[in-house]
Amino acid sequence: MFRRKTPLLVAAFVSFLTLLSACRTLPVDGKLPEGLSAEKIASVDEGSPFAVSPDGNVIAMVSSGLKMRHIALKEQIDLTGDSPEKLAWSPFGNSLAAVFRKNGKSTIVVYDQHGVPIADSSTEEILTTLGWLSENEIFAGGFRVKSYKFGSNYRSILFRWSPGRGLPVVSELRDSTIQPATYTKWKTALERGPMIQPVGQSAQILYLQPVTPPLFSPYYRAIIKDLETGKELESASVSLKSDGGTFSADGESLLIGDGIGSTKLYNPWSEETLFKSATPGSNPALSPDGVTWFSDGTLFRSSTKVTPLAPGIARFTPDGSRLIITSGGSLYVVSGLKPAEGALFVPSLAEKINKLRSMRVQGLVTADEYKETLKRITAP
Amino acid sequence: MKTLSNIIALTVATFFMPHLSLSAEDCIPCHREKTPAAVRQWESSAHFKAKVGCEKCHGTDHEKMKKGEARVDMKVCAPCHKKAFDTHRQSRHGMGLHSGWGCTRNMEGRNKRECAFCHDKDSAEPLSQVQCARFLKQSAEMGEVGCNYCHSVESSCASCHTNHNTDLKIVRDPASCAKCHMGPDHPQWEMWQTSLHGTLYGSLGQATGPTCQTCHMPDGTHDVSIGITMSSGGVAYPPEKGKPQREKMITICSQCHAPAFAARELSRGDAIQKQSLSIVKEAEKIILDLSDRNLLDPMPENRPPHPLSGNRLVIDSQLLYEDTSHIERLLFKMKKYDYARTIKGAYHQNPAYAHWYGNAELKMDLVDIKAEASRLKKGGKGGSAADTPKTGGSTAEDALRVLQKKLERGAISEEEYAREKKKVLEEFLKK
Repeated sequence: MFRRKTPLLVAAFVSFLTLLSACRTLPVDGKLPEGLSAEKIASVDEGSPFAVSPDGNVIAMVSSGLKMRHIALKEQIDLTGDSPEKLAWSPFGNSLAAVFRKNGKSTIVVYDQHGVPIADSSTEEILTTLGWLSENEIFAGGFRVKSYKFGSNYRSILFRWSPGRGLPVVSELRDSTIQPATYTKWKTALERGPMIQPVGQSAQILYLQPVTPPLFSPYYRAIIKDLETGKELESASVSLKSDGGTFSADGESLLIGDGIGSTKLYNPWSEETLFKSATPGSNPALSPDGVTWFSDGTLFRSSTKVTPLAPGIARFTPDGSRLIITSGGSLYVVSGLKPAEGALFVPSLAEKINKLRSMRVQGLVTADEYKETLKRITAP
Repeated sequence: MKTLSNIIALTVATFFMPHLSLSAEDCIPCHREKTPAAVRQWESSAHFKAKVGCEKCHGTDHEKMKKGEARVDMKVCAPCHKKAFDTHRQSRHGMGLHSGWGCTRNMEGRNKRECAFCHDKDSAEPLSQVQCARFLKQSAEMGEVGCNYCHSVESSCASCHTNHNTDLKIVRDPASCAKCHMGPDHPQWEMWQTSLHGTLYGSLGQATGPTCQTCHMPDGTHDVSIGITMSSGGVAYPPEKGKPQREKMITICSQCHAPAFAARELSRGDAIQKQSLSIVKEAEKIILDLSDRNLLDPMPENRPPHPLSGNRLVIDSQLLYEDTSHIERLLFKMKKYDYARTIKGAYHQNPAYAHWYGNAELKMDLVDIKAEASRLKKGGKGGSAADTPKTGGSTAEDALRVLQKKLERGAISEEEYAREKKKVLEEFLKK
């Protein structure tokens, strides 16, 4: 009798837990530390991408189709009924790029700031990351897998495309051979692609490449690639559970978690660790000043936990004063963040610093030389 | 009855044929028709007089002979001509000429295990036929005619003595050396012929005019390296090795000349060798610098791989005259032709070769190389791959890349590198 009722009891318990979870109040809905406030501004499709415009006012989001929403004016433009998988604003906010996946093809559509489509390009590849290298050039990351009896050949792909100026150019970043069992076990993680991130405002990118030594656990190697010279700097090793890294606006700090229990904010050029946190570092977001960060649903500042907010994906506005989070189908704006003074990107020094970084990637200067030279470049 | 006995005799002979040794008597009737010159030469040779028959050198396996697999290697001659064999093997002629690397068997303090790079255990035969980059670039036909006809001297007495003749007139004639020691790369025969030594030989004969053999094979030695004080690439031996050889050469010269005269003439050759080598080194430095800056056109990575070194710059003795950049082709001419002519012309007392065919060309080569380097630097268009940075410019990056490459190839020390790097970074900060 009891045995016959067990499945029913289990089902009821699971339903109860689900209901409890849906109804629970996230910290972002409750009282936040002094100076911080949060507001839910829209409903979005759960797990969907979003992008914050460079002026921090317009959010491109997915809610039964692609929309642009002005935060202050609360106005919304419908761009298309299709839901993109990736979104990215150009550095000056003149264009929005979106990746749609349909009928086995990935299509990048570029919209102007009013939401009018102005260019598109399709590929058979699966595009897993999207961003802009400059106001006129888009990059996208992807991967190709060819399976053999002995394993899979996994190739990380970089697309570069200047909309309206030519066809996309495809290049391979690196390739790895992954044993069948490893591929099966880590399929979901691997199919996130190389998780490419731009490094500040320079012709450099960060990407993660799987490494699968036969007798050891597979891991990702975080690599910085200088796109002008093709040279690479191997920066860190993290678990395949890692959600990748993200750079500060000046390209001097990199936040990366190992997906297990260690997140670090460090300078990959001088190899200095700035802060560490005993968290997995899932869905990391770093403020432009490189001091405040969000990961694992929590807001940190200089390795101190400020407050839990909500498990989800977050992006800082380019001025660093607000954090946009999507969690549980809601889009929140957390306001009241205080960017560190004087730490923001200095455009007049950008060219020289980028050149110095390129020299670092090429192995022409050491970590110490980088540190010393940068200090003298930025000294008042 | 007679027919029957003939059939029986033939059957028995056929049955035992493979087991019988072939002797000259067996070969001559046929070969007098098939290869009459060989038979004629053998019949007038010392081998014939000493009753050394065909089988002694060629063996008894006629099928193998027909397939060309029974060539008379030097090892066949060695048991009877041991002294000649031993001295030949010591000499440059016997030292792995066609293995390209040069055998190390006579080098002091060598590791015996290194023989295994080229030889099977207890075998004098090189494992690979040839390890010379220029040979490896040739067609099979050109390799045979253009390379092996000379370089077979390592393992074949016939290379000089011819196949069946034993008349020493042949090998005592300078013309027998001319087959190989002539032409643009080492025209020793022409140098000798148009020197006073050669002129005297031409007009008054061997009694007055010394030949190649007089100086390089005194008393019939097969050690043709006797008295030579530099490598075949024209690099002077260190004094401990060079000095005894020089003494030997002065002794040879002293058969006709005062030792002091011979010593002075040879030391002039040494001075010219040093001066000329410094010109070659200057040219090599220019090319290495261009390579550091990725300015060679094309760069090694964009050419067919070098047969021995792959896609890297080769300017040592294995440098090529094909599938290379124009400036390296100029270096080839400079090094392999003009440098060789200058120094060999000097040692052979030939003024025209030392100066006009050698020294003048050598110096004009340097002018050409400098002009080509200047053109490449101005154009800044090396033949490097798209993602290989060119360093023809004057940015800090360019300067650092060049310094790094110089350090990697040992052209500058760690201290010099650090010092120069600091200067470059200071300049970078100022701009």
